[in-house]
Amino acid sequence: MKQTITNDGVGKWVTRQYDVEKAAGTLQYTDDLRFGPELLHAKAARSTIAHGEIVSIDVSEAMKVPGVVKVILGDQFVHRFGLYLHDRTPLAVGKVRYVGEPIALVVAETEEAAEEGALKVKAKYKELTPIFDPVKEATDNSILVHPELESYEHVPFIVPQPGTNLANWFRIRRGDVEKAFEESEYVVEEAVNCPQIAHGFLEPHCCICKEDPATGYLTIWTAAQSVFATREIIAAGLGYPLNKIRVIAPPIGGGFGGKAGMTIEALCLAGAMDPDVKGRPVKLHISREEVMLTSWVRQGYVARIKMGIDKDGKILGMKNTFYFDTGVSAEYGANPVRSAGYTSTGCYYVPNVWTDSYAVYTNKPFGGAYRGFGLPELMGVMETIIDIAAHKIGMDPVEFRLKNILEPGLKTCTGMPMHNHALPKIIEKVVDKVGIQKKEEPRRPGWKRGKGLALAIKAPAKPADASSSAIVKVLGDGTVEILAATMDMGQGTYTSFAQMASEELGIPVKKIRCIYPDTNSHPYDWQTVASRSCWAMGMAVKRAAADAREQIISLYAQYWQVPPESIVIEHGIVKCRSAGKAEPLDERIQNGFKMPDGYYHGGPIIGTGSFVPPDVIYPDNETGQSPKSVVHFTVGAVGIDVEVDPATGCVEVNRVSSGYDVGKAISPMNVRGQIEGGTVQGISAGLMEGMYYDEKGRLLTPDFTDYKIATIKDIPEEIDSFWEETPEELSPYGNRGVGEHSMISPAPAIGNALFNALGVRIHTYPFSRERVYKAVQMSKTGEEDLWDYPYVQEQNYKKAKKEWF
Amino acid sequence: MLAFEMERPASLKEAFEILSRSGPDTAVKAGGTDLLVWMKKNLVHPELIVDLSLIEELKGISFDPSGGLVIGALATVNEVAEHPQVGKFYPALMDAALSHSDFVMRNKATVVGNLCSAVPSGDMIAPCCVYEGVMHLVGPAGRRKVPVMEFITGPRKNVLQKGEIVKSVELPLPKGHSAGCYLKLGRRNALDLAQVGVACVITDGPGEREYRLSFGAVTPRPVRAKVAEDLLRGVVSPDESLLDKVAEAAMACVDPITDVRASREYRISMVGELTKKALRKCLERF
Repeated sequence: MKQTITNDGVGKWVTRQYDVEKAAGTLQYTDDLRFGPELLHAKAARSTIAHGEIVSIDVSEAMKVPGVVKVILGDQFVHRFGLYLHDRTPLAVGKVRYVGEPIALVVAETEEAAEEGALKVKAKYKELTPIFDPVKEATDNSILVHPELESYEHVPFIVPQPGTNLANWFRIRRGDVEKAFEESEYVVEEAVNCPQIAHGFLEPHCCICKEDPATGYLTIWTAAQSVFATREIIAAGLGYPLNKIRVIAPPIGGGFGGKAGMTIEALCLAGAMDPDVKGRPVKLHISREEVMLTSWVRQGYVARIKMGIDKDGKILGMKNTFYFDTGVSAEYGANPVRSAGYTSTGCYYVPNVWTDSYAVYTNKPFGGAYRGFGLPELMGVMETIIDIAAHKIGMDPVEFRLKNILEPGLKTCTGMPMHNHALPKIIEKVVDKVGIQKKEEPRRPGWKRGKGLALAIKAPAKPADASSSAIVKVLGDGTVEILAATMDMGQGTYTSFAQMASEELGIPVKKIRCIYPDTNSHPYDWQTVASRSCWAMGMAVKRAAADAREQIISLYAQYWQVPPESIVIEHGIVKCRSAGKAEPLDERIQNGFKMPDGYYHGGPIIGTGSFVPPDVIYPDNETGQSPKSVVHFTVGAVGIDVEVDPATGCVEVNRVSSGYDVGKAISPMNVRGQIEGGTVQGISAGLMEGMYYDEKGRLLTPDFTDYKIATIKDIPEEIDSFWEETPEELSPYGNRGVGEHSMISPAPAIGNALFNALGVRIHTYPFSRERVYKAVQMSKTGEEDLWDYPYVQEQNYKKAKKEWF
Repeated sequence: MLAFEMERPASLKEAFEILSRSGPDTAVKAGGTDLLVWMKKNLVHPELIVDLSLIEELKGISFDPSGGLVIGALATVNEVAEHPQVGKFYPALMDAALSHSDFVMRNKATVVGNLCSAVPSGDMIAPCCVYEGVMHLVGPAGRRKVPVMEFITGPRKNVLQKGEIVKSVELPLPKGHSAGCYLKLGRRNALDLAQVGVACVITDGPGEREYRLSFGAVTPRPVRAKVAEDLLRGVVSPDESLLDKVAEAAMACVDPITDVRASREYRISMVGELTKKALRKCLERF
C-alpha cells in the first residue's frame, strides 16, 4: 500500500523551482560571483589564419601593457583534453588549426588590460592549406588536420582512422542491401545538407579557476552543464587525481549542449596553474564572438541515402553515408556521429541496412553536443528523403510512413527489438490537427500555402555505463534538500525531481529544494545531456527519496509502537490513523526521537540512491549490432502549415502541432515548455540558422548581428503540443526523455511543407528567404530540386563583389 | 572593450571647446548604439568620447507647417516614431523608425546618429532622402546646411569636418496631399539590418502627382531612383506593366554588394519586388 499522500507529486502541474529568483534577477550566475581584488582576468589572443605552423609568438608588447601579469603560450601548457577522444589542446601547440584558436592567454589585473594585452600579442605563421569541405576531405585526405591522430587516446566505442581526416567511423552492416536494391521496384537516392549552427544560449561561457599553491588543489567555478564530466576530463587531461579537483556550477543561463563536457575551463586553468600567478583566482569570461568561434557548434552535415522499395511501398533496404563536419576537434562531436549512425533508419523498419557515419576534421570551429545530438541532422535528411520517396512511388507520404513504421517488436538497425510506443496514434493526431492531407487557401493574398509532416526519434546517446546518484536530506523543519548533480539550465529538471521526492515522501513541493551542483557536496552524476536526467537521475532521486521515507516510517513505527504499514505521510504530516497519531516532521528528524525506552534513536535522515542502466551493450564496432544498444527511444511527429511570399521568399508558419510519446509526464508544465521551446528552436534552425565562412575560413557570422535566431515575431501564433504516455519499462515512473526531441523534426516538416506549396524540393538547410526565393524562381521553370552544395556559399563569396571601395 | 576617457559637455559651446583641444582619436557620441558596438569589436579605439547627451540645444523634435519637421541630434528613434506629426505627415519615416532594431535600442539610438554612422543599411537614410532632408551642421567656423543625399559620401563616411557636429535634420513638409511608406526586408521579421530597404513617397504637390523612391543597403551612397520617378510622374494610378517598368528602372540604379546577409543578385531582385510593393502600399494609403 502507498504510504504517502501529496497534491504535487508526479504528473501534477506545479510551478517551477528558481523561477522567482530568475524573474527578480537575484539568482547568482558565475559572472555574479565576487572574489575581491585578488581576482585576475584572462583573455585569449587568437589565430588569424585557418591552418599554419607557428613560427614565433611575440609577447613583449603585451607584457608592457600596465596590469598584465603573464602571457602563457601553448608550449607552456601541453595537455590534451577530450570526452571521447583526446584531440584538443586549450592553447595551440606548434600549429594553428582554425581562425580563432587561442594562441596565448593574457592574464592581467583588469579585463581591459587583458584585452589590450591580447591585441598586442603578435604571431608569425608559416601558412598551410586549410581544408573546409567534409566530403572532399574524407575522401581525399591529402591534407590532414591531425596527422598525430594515431597517438590520441580515445574510448573503445569511438573508431578514429589514423592517416585520414576521419575522427570516427560508425558502421551498420545488416542483411544484404545490394540484393535488396535488386529486388526493389523503386530505388531512390538523394542527398541533403545543412551547415553548422550555434546554440545561442543567453549566458556566454564564464569560469574562475584557482589553484592552492600549497596543496595543488584546484577549484573551478564554471557555467557548465556537468560538473563531474568537467572534473573527469580535466583530471584525465592534466594527469591529476580526481579528488584534488573541485568543480562548482552556479546556475547557468542556458546550455542546449553547448556547456556539456569541458569547454573553456582548461584554458582558464592554463592561467590559474601558472607559477607566476601564485594561486590567485583567474577569471575567463568570453564574449559572444568568442562563444561563436570557440565553443561547440552543431556539426555541419552532408548525407546521402539510397532506399530500395518494393511494389507495395515497403522499404527493403537502405544505404546511408553521413559526413559530419566536426571542425578542428571531435572530442565530443565523434559521438553524435555514432548517435545518428545507430538510429540511421529513423522511425522505420528496414531489414537490410548499410551505414557509414563519418566525423570529418576540417579547419573550422569544433562540433559538439547540441540539442538532438545527431538526430536533427539525421532526421532532417531522412524525413526529407522519405517524403521524396513517397512522391516518387506515387504514395501519400503519411501512408508511406505508416506502412514502414518501426512497430513494437520489429528490430531497429542495430538489431534491438523496438519497445511499445504510440507513434501511429501521434501521427494520426498531428495529421488531423494540421489538416496535413487537406489543401487550404492561403491566409495572405498572393502567397502560397503548404503543409508538411516529419517524424522524430531519439535515444539518450551516452556511454553504456553513464551512472547517477542522489542524496535526499530531510531537514529539521520538515523540508527536503535534494543533492542531484543534474544542472537545471531551464529545462525544469529540479521541479521534476521535487515532484518525484514529493511523490515518494508525501511532502509538498514548496518544501523541497534542489541544490545546484558542487562535486564536493553532491554525489556522482555522469552528465546533464542526452535527455537522460529524469530517467537516470530520476531513478536515483526516487530511490533516495524512498530510502528517506523508509527511515522516517521505521523511526515513527518504533516511536509510536505501531506497525510500519499503518503509517502514512500526508502533506508533510506523519499519521497513524489506527493509533490516532498525527505529527509534523520537525527537529526530531534531525536530532533523533526519544523512544519509549528513554533512549534517543535516529539522527539526521539521509536517503541515498544510485543507478546505472543494467542492460545496455555497446554496438559491435564492425556491424553496429547489439541486443540492446540504447536504453529506450522517444518517438514523435511534427505537422506544420506554412505560407510563402513568392515575391521575397519569406516563409511564415501558420501553425504547428507536435506530439511525443513521453512515457509519463513527470512535470507537465516542463514537458509542455520543452516541446514548445524545442519546436521554436527547430523552426528557427530550419528557417534561418547557419554559420558561414569566407574562403579563408574566417567566420562571417560571429555575432547576433549576422547569426540570426527566430524572434517572437518569427514564430507561429499556434503551437500545439501534446503527448502520449506509453510507459517505459525500467524508468522511475514510466517516463522517457523529452528534452531534445522537439528540436529534431520541425525543420524537415517545413521543407516538406515548402515542397507541398511550391513543388520544389530544397535539399539544403536553412530555408532562408533568399534560398526559398530561388526555389520560387525554379518553380516557374519547372525545375524540381534545389541543392546548394555545402560550400557554395563560400565559393560564391570568393567570386562576389564584397566591398564598394 | 579597452579603457577610454569620456567628457560630457553641457552646452554646444563647451563641446566645441573640448573638441578643439582633443586629439585625432576622439569620437562624438549621441545614443552610442553603433559606437559602443564598434568599440567592443575593437573596430575603433577612441581615447576620448565626447558624449553629447546633456546638451539641451540638441534635444527634441519640432514641427512647423510652413517649414517642416526638425529632428534634434539627440531625438531618439522612439521619440520620432511616437511623434504625432511624424505619423501624419512622414509615414515613411515612422515605418522606418519602427523597423529599426527593437524597442529597447530605439530608446537610445538617435535618428541623426543613424545618418551620421552612414552605414548603407541605416534605416533612416532612405526615408530622409525621399523627404529631401537637410542636415544642419554647427562648428567653430559657423553653420552650414547639407542635404542628406550629399551628407553621406560613402559607407561610414560623411562630410563632417573635425570639430563639427550635426545639430539637427530638417525634413520639409511634402507639398499637398501625400502618402509614404518604408518597406524593409531582413532575414527575419524583427531585429535585423536591412538586406534591402525601399522608401516611397507620393505627393499631389502644387503641380502634377510626383513619386519619390530611395533605397537602403544597396548603394554605397544615398540614391534616388530618378528614372523610375520620371516614369511615374503625373500618373495617378499606375498599372502593373508600368510598375514592372518602374521596378526595372529601380533595379538599374542600385549597385549592391554580396555579403553574408544577402547576395548582390537577390538584393537587386528584391529592389524590384519591394519597389512594386511599396508603390502599391503608398497608393493604398493615399
